[in-house]
Amino acid sequence: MSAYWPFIVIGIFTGGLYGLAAMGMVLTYKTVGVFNFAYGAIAMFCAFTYWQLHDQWGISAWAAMPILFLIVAPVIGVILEALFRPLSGAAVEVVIVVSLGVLAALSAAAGLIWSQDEHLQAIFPISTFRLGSTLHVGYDQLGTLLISLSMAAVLWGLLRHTRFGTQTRAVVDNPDLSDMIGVHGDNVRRVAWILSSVFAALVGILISPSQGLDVNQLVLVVIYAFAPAVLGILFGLPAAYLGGLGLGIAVSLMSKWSNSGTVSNLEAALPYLLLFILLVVFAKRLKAAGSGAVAQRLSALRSSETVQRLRWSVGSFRIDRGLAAGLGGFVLALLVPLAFPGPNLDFLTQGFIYAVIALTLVVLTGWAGQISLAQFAFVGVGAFTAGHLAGAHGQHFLFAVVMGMLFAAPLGIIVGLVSLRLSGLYLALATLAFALVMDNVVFNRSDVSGGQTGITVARPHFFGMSFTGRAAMYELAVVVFALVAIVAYALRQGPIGRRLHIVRDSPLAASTLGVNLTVTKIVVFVVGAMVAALGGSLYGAWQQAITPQDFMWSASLALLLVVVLGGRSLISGAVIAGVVYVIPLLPQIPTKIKELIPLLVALGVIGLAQEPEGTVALARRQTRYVLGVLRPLPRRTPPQGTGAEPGAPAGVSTRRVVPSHVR
Amino acid sequence: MSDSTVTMPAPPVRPDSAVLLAEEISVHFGGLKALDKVTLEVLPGRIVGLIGPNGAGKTTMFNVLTGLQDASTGRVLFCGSDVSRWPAHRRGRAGMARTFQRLALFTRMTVHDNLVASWESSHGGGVLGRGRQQCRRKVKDVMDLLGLWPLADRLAGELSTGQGRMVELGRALCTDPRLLLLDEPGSGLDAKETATFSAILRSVTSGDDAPAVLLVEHDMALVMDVCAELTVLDFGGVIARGTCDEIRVNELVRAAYLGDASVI
Amino acid sequence: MSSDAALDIRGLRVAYGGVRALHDVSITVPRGAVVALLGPNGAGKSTTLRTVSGVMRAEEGTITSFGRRIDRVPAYRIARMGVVHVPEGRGIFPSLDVRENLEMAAEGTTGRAKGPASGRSGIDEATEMFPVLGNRLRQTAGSLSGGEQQMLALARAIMARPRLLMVDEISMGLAPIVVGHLFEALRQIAATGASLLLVEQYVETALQLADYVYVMDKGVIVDVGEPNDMRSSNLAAAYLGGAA
Repeated sequence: MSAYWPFIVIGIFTGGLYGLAAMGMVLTYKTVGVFNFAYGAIAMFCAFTYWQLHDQWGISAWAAMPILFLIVAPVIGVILEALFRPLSGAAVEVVIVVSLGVLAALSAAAGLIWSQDEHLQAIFPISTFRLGSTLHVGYDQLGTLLISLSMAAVLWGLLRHTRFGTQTRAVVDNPDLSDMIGVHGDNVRRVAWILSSVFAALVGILISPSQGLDVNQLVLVVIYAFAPAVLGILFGLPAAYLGGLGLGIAVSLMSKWSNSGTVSNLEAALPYLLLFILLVVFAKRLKAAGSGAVAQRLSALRSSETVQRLRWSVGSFRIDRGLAAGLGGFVLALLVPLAFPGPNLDFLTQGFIYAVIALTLVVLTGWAGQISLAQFAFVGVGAFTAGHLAGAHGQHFLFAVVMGMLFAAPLGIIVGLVSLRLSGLYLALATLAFALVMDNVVFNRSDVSGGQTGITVARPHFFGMSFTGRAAMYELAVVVFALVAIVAYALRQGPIGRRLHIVRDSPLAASTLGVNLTVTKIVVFVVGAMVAALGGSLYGAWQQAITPQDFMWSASLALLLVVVLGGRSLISGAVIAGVVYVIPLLPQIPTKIKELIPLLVALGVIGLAQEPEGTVALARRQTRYVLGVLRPLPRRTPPQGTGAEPGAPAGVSTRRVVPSHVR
Repeated sequence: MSDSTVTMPAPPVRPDSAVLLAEEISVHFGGLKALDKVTLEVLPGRIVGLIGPNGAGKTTMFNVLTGLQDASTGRVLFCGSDVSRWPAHRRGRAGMARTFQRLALFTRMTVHDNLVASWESSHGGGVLGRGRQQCRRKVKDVMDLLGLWPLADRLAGELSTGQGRMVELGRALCTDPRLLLLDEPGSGLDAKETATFSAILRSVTSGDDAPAVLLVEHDMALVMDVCAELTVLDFGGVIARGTCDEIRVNELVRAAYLGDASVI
Repeated sequence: MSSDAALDIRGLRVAYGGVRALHDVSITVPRGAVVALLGPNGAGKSTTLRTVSGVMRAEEGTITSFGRRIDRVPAYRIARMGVVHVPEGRGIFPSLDVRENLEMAAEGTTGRAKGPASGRSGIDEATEMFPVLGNRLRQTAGSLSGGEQQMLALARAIMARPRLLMVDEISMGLAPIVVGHLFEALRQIAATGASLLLVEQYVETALQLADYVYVMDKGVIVDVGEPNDMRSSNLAAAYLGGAA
């Protein structure tokens, strides 16, 4: 038994770090209403700043800490508050993407300002002391533990028992009302964000000494902390801390028991499995805890012109400008290899394949309103299945592709079932957990992917055509994208598109009208999974060598980011996503600019606050503004000869829409 | 929970002719009795009012009837079939249509498309686009009846409450319902809109194939105007049943719900 | 020219969401008076109240309360001056419990000479007025029925010791007997000297309580007078559906 103690003690200390990060996230969520995916990045940035002040410029800790906690962190908090303020009423996925944008911006900035792998001195002396007969405990570990415990108590008291705590919750809950009753909402929000950032700074400098001052490392620690954070949202701040402790101990003990093979994979996947299980089991309670969106404020009401208007007419397939542009683009794309036969074609191919995958997210998230951070898990399933079957097993390519899609389908059903219980932020987290589990448990297997080395895949052959050539592969990608896009477009025009829309708009009303929500949601996820798998098999065939790295969770996050940026409700948004994905890969772009690209993307995402429907919608809005065309609404008149009075009865008041003021 | 709740005896049951028959519906959760053996019957073509104080259980009753909430005991018979185990969407397709206390329009769709989507949702096979003519005809009829054409291309989310209530009624009518469950449809309507609503409700329920209506409402003017009979709930149980005139002077109901207000 | 009225609105013009809601609205609520604001839906009554409480901005016009200009003042400051707005619809904090909702009333008395009205005695006062709230102090406000939420909103407003109380369709969704209680509560508040501006659909009940009546339609004031005049006025009847 005594053999376990060292592991438990280690677990307590690492667990304390998870608990600390989790508390910070819960604090942020409760006081500003945002589940801040960038929390780890803020912590990292503050830790780097402290390192710069203390280790590089030699400022003593007594001066550097106040600078960090009283100046740097609050400034970050105020900036974040201003950033998130216009997002009032925006959809959850937009809020998530903006926080991902902050993550990208901070990571990129840190990468540019500081080199990697600096080491931050611990705040406390490193020396250890003896506990019992065999244990050595570091003072720094003990100090961290004590500080985090006292912080837990302080924050708990702050949230639950002070007027400030009630105020922040009120401001999150109903911002207009809190203004109306005398709460200075903007100030409360600012203080809440400042508190969140200051705590993040604390987390940063406590965690960095042991985890490393690495741009990516701290972000990962925070992902570990998601499960305890959800526990905290459900049961209060102390639960977040205890959950973190428990997780640390569990992970540590598992490493004691494991040797190799699947068990060690399970140990790596434990935090994500726990997250998944927590979300599914406590789904009902989570619904009561909020949706992860930022509450609508009257002052943020936008002119109706910018709201996406979807017009359908029953039965007729209209050729509108979008379709015409799409067809034109398709023809142009097919002709590209004639003009540019060089190696750039490879990147364009990649872009189109990515656009196929992006389209699944447009349908899932943009149209059906289901946030999925698991798409690349399906992509990977398709890629590896088709890769193995067509390659090592010598099967026909099309058969391999279909098998890849069939393998992805049951996974789509699983995620679809989850979407019945969870929505919004929590669905996003659950799909992320799913993707992380897939990464660690499935894609790591040597029989699947050859471990980290990956597998090789052959170019496709079917119907007597061979696609080994660069141009041939490109045309294949273009055609596949066009087919998928046309099908999606046609479906969206008709009853299926309407059904997806109403399931998103008001599932309650839709179900009482006769829509089977269960079937609809599962079908939409299965189709999304299968098309993603199709994209995966194409990708594998193009790349000709695939590794687990290609399908990691971060790819799914990036996908959501670029799709929302492009315009998640629009097929053209998928195209933009493909473009944004490809541009950084082009060798023509100088490396200096390439380093800036994450920063640019991040800034673009931050611009989403102004136009949550994405860049395409923004472009449309600006074009309309520039052309000075503000079309009045067409009036739909009843068919002739019916004898019905077209006017409204006296009781139903109508309002003529006056075009908004040009701003 | 009051001991003095008087539970009225249920009216004679004729399962074959009633559009809706809810028998002894009880709902318990967490030690609280939201509904206590409530029996309700709606005959074809009738408008029945379900009234009572706030928190009496009226919306809970609606949720049980439409399948959004499970009853602890009791059963629901709809047009002769026992639908107690049926999920909400199945009841919707069978002809049970509902409006909501807080409007549940498809806010990012036009009024016209709200109705189209409603028809498609309730008539299976709409997924593949069959029955387009039928759909167009039905939507046109409902839009004519309710005078919604001037609003046809407006986004449902931009409408006023009064307009929104009309659209929700229109949506319900597009499902070709046998029973309309209206949850406080008069809430937020001004006097003129209420009068129009009454008139439309009466015209919708006249005729041979007309749906029956179960109406939850606090606006007594509207209730007295359209309802043939009233059932009064308090603390989850039925305390009175009768015609409007009978209920108006019922002591128990006045004490619990109506007060002495001159609003009636 | 600042008057001493509880509320003095002159020439208000407001637009939002691309629609002009108020064209030229002028309303006066004398100190200590009860003024009813009636009219069909879509007239702009709620918009008027929201502009006074500062949640919306006017393009033109002035708003003065107790001698101070409030049309460019942030909403929270207006509330702390004792101008309390009970909005139509969501006048509560759904995720806070009933007690916490009531405690928020203290925010409105910040900095005013009259001390905070929350705390033990304040909550007792609220539960006396609305006993059903007393049973549900620890219940999440969002789980209350619609009518109970209205009662909670009004209770909180009263606890904030308003000098000017603006109530937007408080009777919506309430049982008639409760409407009677509420109006009785409003009468008592008026008796303590507070000024009231009521938007109401229960025309007759509003006429019984009001000292003056304004009738609005399509963003303008179409009639103003005393209740008795309104009762016999054809103009008013046209806008109020003959229910006067």
